[in-house]
Amino acid sequence: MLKKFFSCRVCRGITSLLLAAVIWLPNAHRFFDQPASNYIAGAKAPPKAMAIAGRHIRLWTDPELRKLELEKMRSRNAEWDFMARCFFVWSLANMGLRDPSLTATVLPVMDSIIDETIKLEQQHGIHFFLMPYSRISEFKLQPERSIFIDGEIALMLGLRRLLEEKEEYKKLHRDRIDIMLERMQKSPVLCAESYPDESWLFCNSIALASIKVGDYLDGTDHSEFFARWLESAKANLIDKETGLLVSSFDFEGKRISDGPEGSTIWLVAHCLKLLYPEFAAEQYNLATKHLRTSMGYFGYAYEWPGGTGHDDVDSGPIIPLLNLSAGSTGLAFVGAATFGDREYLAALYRSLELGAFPVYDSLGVRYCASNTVGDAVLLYSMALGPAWEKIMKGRPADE
Amino acid sequence: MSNSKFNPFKAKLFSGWGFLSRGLLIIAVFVLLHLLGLREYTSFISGTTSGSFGDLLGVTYFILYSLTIFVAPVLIIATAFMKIFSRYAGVED
Repeated sequence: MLKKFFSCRVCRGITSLLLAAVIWLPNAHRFFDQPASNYIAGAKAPPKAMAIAGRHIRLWTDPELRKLELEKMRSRNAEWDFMARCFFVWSLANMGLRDPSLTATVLPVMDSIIDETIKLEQQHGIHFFLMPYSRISEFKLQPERSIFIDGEIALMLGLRRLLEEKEEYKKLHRDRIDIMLERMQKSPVLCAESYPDESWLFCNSIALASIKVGDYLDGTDHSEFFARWLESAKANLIDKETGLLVSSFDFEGKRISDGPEGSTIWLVAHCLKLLYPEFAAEQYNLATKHLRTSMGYFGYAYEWPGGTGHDDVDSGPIIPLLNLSAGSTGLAFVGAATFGDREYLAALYRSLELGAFPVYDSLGVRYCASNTVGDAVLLYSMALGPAWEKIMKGRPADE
Repeated sequence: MSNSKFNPFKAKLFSGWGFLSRGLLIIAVFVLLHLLGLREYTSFISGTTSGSFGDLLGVTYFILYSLTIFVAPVLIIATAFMKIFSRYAGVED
């Protein structure tokens, strides 16, 4: 009977293919498994973080290389140029806090990026780091400013000061905080505009984190504002279907432009952990429920709950069938690292090795499928921890 | 006759050599694309490049890479099963 079955060529072939698939497919992931020590920091930054940081430091110290990279980024999206700077500076601050022997190396690089970024903002105005539609209409609040720019620069200044105080940056940091607070409080939902009549929680949560860093450094207290902000967010900015915070809305907070999306919520949860740890953990858990997914052992993230929805500049192209969004998946590393979700992190790193096409060379490592901002986000996911831990412990005098 | 049997493009699909040759062919084409530097063009995944000929190269590389990882090994392993089953059934592969 069996001999008769196998004497048929097609039966033999299909059986052979099925058996081979049963052997290979459940085991293919083993070639992409990464030991946790490669990407989870111990007393020092993990080797993968050092490899990415090495390349970025070279990028920021070699004008030719930097020009090439930044032009490539700016040709697609000026925001990426800005965010690559910010995520890299935040990463270096955390690396320095974790391993003080790195402080002398990272401080000049951080200062150089901060100084150049502020200089460019002063020379060209806020639109230099925004997408062209920032010029199409007027900001509701005048003079025009973007909380995207103010928040991220303030967090760069704050984390730099957290690593080592610098008088020159203290005033710059305090001034930005005052401006952000003033503008946020003018909005009914306590969120300032990132673009004309368009407020993003991504930017406002970074602003909140930078204000909290300021409180820690200078002994100010905005706990009353933080409490009002949370109350307002719960009342106005929660998506009813998923329970997740929405992504963007108008200045009044009456019209939601974008509901919950991966390229926003993972980082929002990370930032809010500094102020509202329980609420942030709740948001992270909801995000994993609606956005986390996998193909076998390979983890990734959707941009929109359930995987349905369009692609945009934040999500990156959404890969058909899988509904994989590079933007959401990249920031999912930050979320998973923040909340110690080791299982998801391991699945994400497996996918990174499988589908991000790493290239190792004398400068370090870069991922061909990514770009400078993607690599900086990845670096941040490996470096984060020490800054938030230090602030959450409270000022020494408060303990 | 025997020459066409070993030609990967003419080999029967459901045969040991058919599986093996196609598995090796996929790997060979991927290696060629890799050596030509097409890995660089996979930045289309993050939307860093868009709408250019480079994206097409990136998509081609991505497809061949996926076939090399998930399909070629299955074909190569299936070759061994094909041989075993042919011998068991006492028929020519």
